[in-house]
Amino acid sequence: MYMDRTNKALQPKSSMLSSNKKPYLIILLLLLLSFCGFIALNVGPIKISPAQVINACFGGFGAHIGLPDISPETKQIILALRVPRTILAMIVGISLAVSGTVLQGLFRNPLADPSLIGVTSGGAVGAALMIVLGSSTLIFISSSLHNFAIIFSAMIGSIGSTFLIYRLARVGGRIHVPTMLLCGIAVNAFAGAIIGIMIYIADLENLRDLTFWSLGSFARAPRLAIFIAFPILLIFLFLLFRQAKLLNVLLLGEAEAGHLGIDTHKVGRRIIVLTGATVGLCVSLTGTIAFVGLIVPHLMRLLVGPNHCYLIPAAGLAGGTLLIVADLLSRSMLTGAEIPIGILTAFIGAPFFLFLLLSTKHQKLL
Amino acid sequence: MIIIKDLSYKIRGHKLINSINLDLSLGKIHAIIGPNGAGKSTLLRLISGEIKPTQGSIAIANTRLVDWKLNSIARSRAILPQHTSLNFDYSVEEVVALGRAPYLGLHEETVNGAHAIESVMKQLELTDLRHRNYTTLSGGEQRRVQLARVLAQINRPVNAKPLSPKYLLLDEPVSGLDLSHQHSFLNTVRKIADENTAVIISMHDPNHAAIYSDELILLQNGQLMANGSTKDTLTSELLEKHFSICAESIRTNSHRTHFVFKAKNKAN
Repeated sequence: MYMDRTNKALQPKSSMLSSNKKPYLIILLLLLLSFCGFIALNVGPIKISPAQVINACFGGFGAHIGLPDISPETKQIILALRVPRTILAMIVGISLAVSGTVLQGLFRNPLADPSLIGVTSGGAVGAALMIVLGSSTLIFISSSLHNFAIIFSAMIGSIGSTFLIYRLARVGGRIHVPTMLLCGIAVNAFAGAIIGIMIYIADLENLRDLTFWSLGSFARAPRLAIFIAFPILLIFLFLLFRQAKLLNVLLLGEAEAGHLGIDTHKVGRRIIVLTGATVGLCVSLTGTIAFVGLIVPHLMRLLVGPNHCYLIPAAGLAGGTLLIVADLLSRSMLTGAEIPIGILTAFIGAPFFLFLLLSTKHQKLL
Repeated sequence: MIIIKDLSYKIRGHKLINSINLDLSLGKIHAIIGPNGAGKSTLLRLISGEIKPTQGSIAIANTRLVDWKLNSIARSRAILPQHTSLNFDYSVEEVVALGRAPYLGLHEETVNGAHAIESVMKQLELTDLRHRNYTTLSGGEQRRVQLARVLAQINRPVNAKPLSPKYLLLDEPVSGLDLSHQHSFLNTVRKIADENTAVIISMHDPNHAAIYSDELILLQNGQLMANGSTKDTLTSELLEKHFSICAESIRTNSHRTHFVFKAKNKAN
């Protein structure tokens, strides 16, 4: 007891930030996201000043309040090219990070990343099947219908693979982590095979679609799809955030959560459908962007602890910021060309995953 | 009151619980004892609803267990499983607060919840550990935090009258605790039992059963071997018969029976 009091400062705390500071972190992250988003609008092959960017965001009417005049071309570049792209990077970053956070809560393990356990590749298979097979059948009706079919198919693929992994990794109410990771490998390999077949039988135009998209890229998503997906993803994110308190209890264990009055099967199903749909929708827009759902929740958990009421918003905001910055790098590192974003995140993510595996703390989790 | 009728549980041809009949009354501590694999945990898991019986029925407060709403039963019944695993960096206080999950969104929960968390942490001497990271605690300390979480779940508001019936199921709650915490915990449980709570504890130490329990339930191979008031039922003969051990009973000054054990001499 004596030791307890004297060593208080040295004792391991549950998170770096104390409870009353956590709301400030959320505000800080929100400001950071806005700042990075604004920077992203300013960077591109054509030089546009920040004041002009602001004016363009006001639709050109900023000239009345002293902002510099802008040409219609400049306005077009900002509103038609940079704004959709930045919104896409942001919402996909938020969605992937939040999905990762929530899946890790459901699997009660910080290694449950959507791309590692096959949720992403499930969506990829769904989308690839629809890109190649759908183009021969649905294209006759309309190409936008084909786009919707791709989105829908990716969502179904992700939800399906999430259910599969959850079923296989869950042994007697507990998650068997090695099984979860190995099932992820199997699902990823199987998905790779199916996508391989699709590439093999695809015609030239589909082939370009498939390649771009299996590397992960923000460049290909149609503007209309972005603006339709944006509110849908916001709704999914809102519904995921509403699970925060249930997830907090679920971390205790499935049996314990049941004892505390939670219908764990129902909550599990709801979370799987929501995360699957969110990831699937992201995959259909940008292809596979790996590891965002692993890195971001992990770092945020160190900062704010495992309480999902703070963790979900923190991870979301940080994920959005990360992908905006990564996108900025991917399109400004090479002149006249861009590195697909999926390559960039894998470059950072894979070593990070190894680091997590090797750190003693997580060896205990396997 | 919990009424168990003709309860059986079979898994892959093995009968883990074999047609058990029990009445568990409010205000009493029921101790389940029995050798390893007797079905103590299985019986508790059946009463908790975690596993479904293959035969027979369980009724809590005259309502069949299957007819209870999960959320409303959770407000009057708390369960501590034998093993818990929590790998996330919650603080001690946060884990205890999770015990209040069944009350989320209820009127007055802000006041009652805070009171419940404070009082159970005081009872289990966790106040000093409040901000510690749960995953860095010792096994015994973690056990105490889980106990506090379970007690917080059925903690009554200060001015709760009349005392509504409550149920507390504990699967080997004191294993891994040091001596002083074992006894202070069981004393706490005694107080909770006296407030119109039916407490069912599985335990290994017959002396704990002798000191703290009112009723004894002896299981062996899934069958009910003895059931009755601890005072009359728990004898050295009973223990020798079912635990294959030599037991000698001692009357203490406080008129309690205690047991001293010795391994059975195989040669005899």
